[in-house]
Amino acid sequence: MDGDYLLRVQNLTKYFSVNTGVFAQIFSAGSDHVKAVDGISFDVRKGETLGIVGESGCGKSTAGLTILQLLSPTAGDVIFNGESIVDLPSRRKRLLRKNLQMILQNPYSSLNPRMRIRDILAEPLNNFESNKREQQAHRIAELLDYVGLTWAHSERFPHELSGGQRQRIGIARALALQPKLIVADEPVSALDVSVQSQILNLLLKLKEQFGLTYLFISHDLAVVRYISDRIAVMYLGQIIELGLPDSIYREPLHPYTRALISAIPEPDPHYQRERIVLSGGVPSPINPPSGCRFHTRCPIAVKRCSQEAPTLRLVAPDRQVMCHLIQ
Amino acid sequence: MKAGTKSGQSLGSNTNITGVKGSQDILIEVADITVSFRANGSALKPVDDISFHIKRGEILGMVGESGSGKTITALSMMRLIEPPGRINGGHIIYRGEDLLQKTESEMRKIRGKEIAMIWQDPMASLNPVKRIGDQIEEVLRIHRRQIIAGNKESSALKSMATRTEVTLAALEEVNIAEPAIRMKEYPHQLSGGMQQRVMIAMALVGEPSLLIADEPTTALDVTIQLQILELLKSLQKGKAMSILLITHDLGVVAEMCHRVQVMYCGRIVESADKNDLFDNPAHPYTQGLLKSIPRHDVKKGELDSISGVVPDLTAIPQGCAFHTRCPMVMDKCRQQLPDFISLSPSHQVRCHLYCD
Repeated sequence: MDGDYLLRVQNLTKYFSVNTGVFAQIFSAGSDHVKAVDGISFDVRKGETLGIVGESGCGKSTAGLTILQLLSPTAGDVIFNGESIVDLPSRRKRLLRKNLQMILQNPYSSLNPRMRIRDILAEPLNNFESNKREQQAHRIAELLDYVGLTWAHSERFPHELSGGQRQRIGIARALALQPKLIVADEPVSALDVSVQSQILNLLLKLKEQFGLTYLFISHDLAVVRYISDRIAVMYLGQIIELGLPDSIYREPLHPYTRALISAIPEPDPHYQRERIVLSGGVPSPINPPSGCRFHTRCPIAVKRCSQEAPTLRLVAPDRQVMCHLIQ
Repeated sequence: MKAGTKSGQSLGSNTNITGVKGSQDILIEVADITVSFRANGSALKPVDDISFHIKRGEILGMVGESGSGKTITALSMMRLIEPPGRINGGHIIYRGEDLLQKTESEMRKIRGKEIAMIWQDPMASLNPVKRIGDQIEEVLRIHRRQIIAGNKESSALKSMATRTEVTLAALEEVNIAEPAIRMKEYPHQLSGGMQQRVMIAMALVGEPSLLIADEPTTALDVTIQLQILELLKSLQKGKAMSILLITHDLGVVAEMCHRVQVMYCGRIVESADKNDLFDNPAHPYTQGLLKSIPRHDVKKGELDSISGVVPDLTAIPQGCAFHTRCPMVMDKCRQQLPDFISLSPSHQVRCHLYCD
């Protein structure tokens, strides 16, 4: 069973120090930390898409970067293909990049404006593979074909392409080295609705074609539900619920998940449901609330919630929840 | 043709049932407005000959993708189009008067008082170096005379103390806790949702009859979005104000609006009552949009999408602008712009499929 897991994240933690100045470091007793990711654990099976969903500031992007070792974790372990990848020597870490790729949110700022598409796609190949010119051109044509573009696009600059086409280039670049895991951080948020669904369907197609595993990070619950095999909901640096998309959406258990799902504006005027309007905004991750971090906004909080921190517990097969009140 | 559409619309407003309570009369009518920008010798038309109206107490949704002309339409209604852009011809009739005939100083009395606007990005729209209380008071100072004329008992608005009171009340109205403390703070001290509440307070302090909300919740998280939408709904009901809600999110439309118009490449391609639009979308573009949103009952792999991309403003296709992406395109579509025809008194569409 263990061999089925491509990625295992164990108690992963990332704090950012707030007082970085020399003065503050010398004179302040204990410096403050932004607890961006605070002890998250989950496993991703081979060929699975795990969606991470949450509002801005919940730590979902930091989680992605820390898993990829683009940020070094404060604590915890990341096991990729049966091997810990935390604290690898830099040469081994570099080789790891072939297998771990990323698709970024903004296709406007993640492509070098002064490079032709051909060169953007050749860069990963030049870094890791020693191909002849001809072979490389062939590979680039292949990559463009995978993402629904043609060789004609290869001579262009990023500004000559539309947002959707640019995101296709971002995807082709991530595919270039035949990775095993792709972390997609809000890959469709910057796109128009009609283009968004094109990219989502492309991601699904490529996953089938190449047996990819995705970690799909997004704030858009409808999008995450559509693409994911399992979903982790994050709040203030912690995973508060984890389960299958349909069961999470039909029957959300954690009060935060319930409010989040009820807040999605559905494009269907006849769709009747209970709306839960949460009061206030998300508290600061520098001094997160004691006990359960959601208790300050929770409509059903009891005294225990502010005193004792709940743990992520298995409440049903394939369903974990971090709440005292769920049996 | 144009005259026909107009009489068709006013007929519609007399007979249809939109769920709008009370008076059914028209607050503002935009007729045959084109906005053009001159660039490199050629004229670009981000808004091309559009006509529509908003009734009193109605929430009209304007949906479309980026570049469809939604924001330019809103700016033209406030006469905020700056050179090299200009409004070519047409009328904007507000309470029986044509806004395009007004002088700049007359317009200044209308903006913020009769027609107010809230923007997508509250952080970029608030003045970062001014306390939020002062920013709201600014509206009161500028529109003091009209506010006094409209509201006899508050003739003391001149005095600082009364203005502060009105500001406090305005902040309270948008559910900001501890308004007395908040009004002394600067925008960066507030969260995104709070900033948008301040924007709404500022827009409503002049008691406008029309609020133009341009993507008011796009920059906000879903749980905060729900708070702001609920707030806008309750304020709209309480004040019997009209709202033009500009958004790209059909979910927000389903939640908020009485009537919807869909824009594509600077034109209105479909206009209908909300339920009609979602139940019987007529234009292939509207149908495509609705099928390409992941919603609660869509299964994996079943999401449709519209092929291609929104055309660039410099290369808007001949005939029907959607013909390059339309799954039901006919020869006629490539040559001839379809008329805006009525399917029912409250449902119009610009598509050749429905001609004859």
